[in-house]
Amino acid sequence: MPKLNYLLICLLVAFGAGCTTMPNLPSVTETPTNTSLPGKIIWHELLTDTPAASEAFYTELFGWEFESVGFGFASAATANYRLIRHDGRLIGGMIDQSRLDTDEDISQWVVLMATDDIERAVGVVAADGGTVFTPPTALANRGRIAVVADPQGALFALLETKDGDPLDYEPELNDFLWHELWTDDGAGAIAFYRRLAGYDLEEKAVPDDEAYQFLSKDGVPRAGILLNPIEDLPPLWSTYVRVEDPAAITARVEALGGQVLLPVQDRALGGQVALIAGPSGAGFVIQTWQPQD
Amino acid sequence: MGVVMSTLVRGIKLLLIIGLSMSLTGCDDPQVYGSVGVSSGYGGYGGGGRYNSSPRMRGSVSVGGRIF
Repeated sequence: MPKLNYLLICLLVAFGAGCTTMPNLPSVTETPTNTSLPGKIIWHELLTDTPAASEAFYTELFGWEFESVGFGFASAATANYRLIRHDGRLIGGMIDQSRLDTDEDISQWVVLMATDDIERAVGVVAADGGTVFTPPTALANRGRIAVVADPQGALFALLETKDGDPLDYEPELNDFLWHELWTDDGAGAIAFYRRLAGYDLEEKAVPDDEAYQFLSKDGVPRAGILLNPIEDLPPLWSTYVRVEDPAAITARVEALGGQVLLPVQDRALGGQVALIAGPSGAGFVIQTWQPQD
Repeated sequence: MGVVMSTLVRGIKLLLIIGLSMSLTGCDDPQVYGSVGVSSGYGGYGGGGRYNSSPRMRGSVSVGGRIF
């Protein structure tokens, strides 16, 4: 068979198999931990329709580093995925939404919640009236992912890792700090997420308010539950980034192509917060925080 | 024996070319989000920074955030 025919057949096979094959994403940990931490938010993915501007925004604002992934000769250049690091530590990924099969503007930060049984977790989502956008799908070394929305429509993903979940550590400045569900139905959300991940519900008194409710697992706080604090915003998972000086950050946001959605506020329990968005409109909260003794 | 060797070599070549071809086709695109139809809702406040407007949301997150 002439060599040209060989090549043609192989290219057809490759494109035919093409992107029905498993995406070749790396693990969310540099080294295997072989530890399962179900219920922990272990990864963050930025869906953006302005990847170049977003990369510049987060690089300038937080010093994050972006790098391509891929294992083939050209896949590093063609793969629609950029790993995000902070001080060398893997913290997330970025995906160009314009290269996805969707016409919706889905620019946002998506949290990935660890599970040790993704089939069961997806079953809970479906049984409780949530939406399963993507059923459990293998991502090579990363493990298996499912993209879902809870019964109120808050988008998130479930990830059953192959090599174990990232271990807990004290977030440094400009790293992800906390996760919080902003919901219109606190009781319903709590019941759903407890069924999903076996969380315990805890509360902490807040001055001039009832209490701050949060979900913990094995004694470790994992996520807050807050009645949606923003007018007209649909239920969503909100991501917090630890910063030293929110005012200094918000002063730079608009020049970098982002927006200040809520200016700096004092927190009821001390410190400050502000709500900002990157160039694609993906919102997140910045917060001051000091490690507890 | 010569025929067997020749077939084997052809098979190996075929596999190598398939592997190379697949590495060139960008098969590692994470299409798992392709079916998502949920907007974050932030876009309703001006589509991020793209319109140079400065919409401000109404609300407060003073109660939220990490407390531990």
